[in-house]
Amino acid sequence: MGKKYVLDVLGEVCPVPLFKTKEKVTRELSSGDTLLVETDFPRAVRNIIDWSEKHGHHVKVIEIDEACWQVQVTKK
Amino acid sequence: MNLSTLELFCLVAKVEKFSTAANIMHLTQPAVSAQMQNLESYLNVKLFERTGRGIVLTEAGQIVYKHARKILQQFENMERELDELLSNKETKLVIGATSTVGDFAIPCTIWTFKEKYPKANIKLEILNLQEIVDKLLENKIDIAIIEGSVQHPELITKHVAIDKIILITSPDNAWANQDKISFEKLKEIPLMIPAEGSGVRKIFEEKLKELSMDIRDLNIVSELGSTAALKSLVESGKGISICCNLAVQKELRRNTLRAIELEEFNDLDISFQLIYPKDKYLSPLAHRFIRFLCPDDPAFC
Repeated sequence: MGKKYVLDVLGEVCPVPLFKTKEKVTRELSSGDTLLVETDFPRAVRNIIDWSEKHGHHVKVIEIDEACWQVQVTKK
Repeated sequence: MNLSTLELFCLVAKVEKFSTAANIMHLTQPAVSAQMQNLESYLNVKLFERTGRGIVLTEAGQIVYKHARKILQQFENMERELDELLSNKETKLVIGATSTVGDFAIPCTIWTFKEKYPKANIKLEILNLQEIVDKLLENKIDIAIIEGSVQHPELITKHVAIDKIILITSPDNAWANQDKISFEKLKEIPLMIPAEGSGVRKIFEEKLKELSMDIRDLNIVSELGSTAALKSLVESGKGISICCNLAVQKELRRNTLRAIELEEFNDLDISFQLIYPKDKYLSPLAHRFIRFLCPDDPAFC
């Protein structure tokens, strides 16, 4: 089991959530670690899924609230 | 069957719930179910298994997912390559937007679009509704995104998304403690409203009229053309204002603004529309942007 990190980007519109996700996953996470990104921006959810899949990271989405999501990115 | 169905299918597969996918895509859950059923009957296989928590892909679903992703990626590659053929003139796209839309939702849409089509050279102009209509007809902007509606014989209108109009206040004001406020009470509070020509204002005024109330009875202290300016005035405690929910998501989450409902109103919906001239040449890029924002089923940033 890898380590868990949290990234709160509530209220940030894209591309900020994706940029911050990219940076954290690329620089701070080791393989197997998971980043929990919390966002309320629908397009950001889609962008983070797309980016993660393109780079082979495992990604899962949980709806925390009606307009608030936790995107879980596990580094390849 | 079309690409946006495949795109939706991939999202559903990823989030494992129809309702979550619906919220992310600004669709209703029945609309998502219907599209997925269409896909199932088109391919004549069962794609999902229902579980207590949502759905999981069947074995057939996993095969479709694997290929759907490749098809979407391949299609994107094709469009990128086609982009290479475009001349500099053809990669230019001037988008007009009203302040409400242009300050918040659209920059993100443009950014995501540019990620897909790096050659696109997009200029965004924030204008009021009348200026937008004029410039569209004069060919000075290619397409525009507005809130509210506009009826013009020479313009095509496409629905993009729906939002709500709310009253906003600073959490420090005395009236911020209630969830609802009556029209009578609102008369006593300094009100700052969007300037004439704003879709938010138009809908607000129309709704008041419907209920035999008049905007002129309210204590209007200023009228501003910029949503950002209205927001900062409200944040500093100068009074109440009206705006789209979408424009203040960050402030509401961070608690620097609070939303209040007007007692007499039920939900006050406002729609966002894409507009462009009817009989005019649209560049391939403009077409693509329209398709990006309004696939068969609309989705908004």
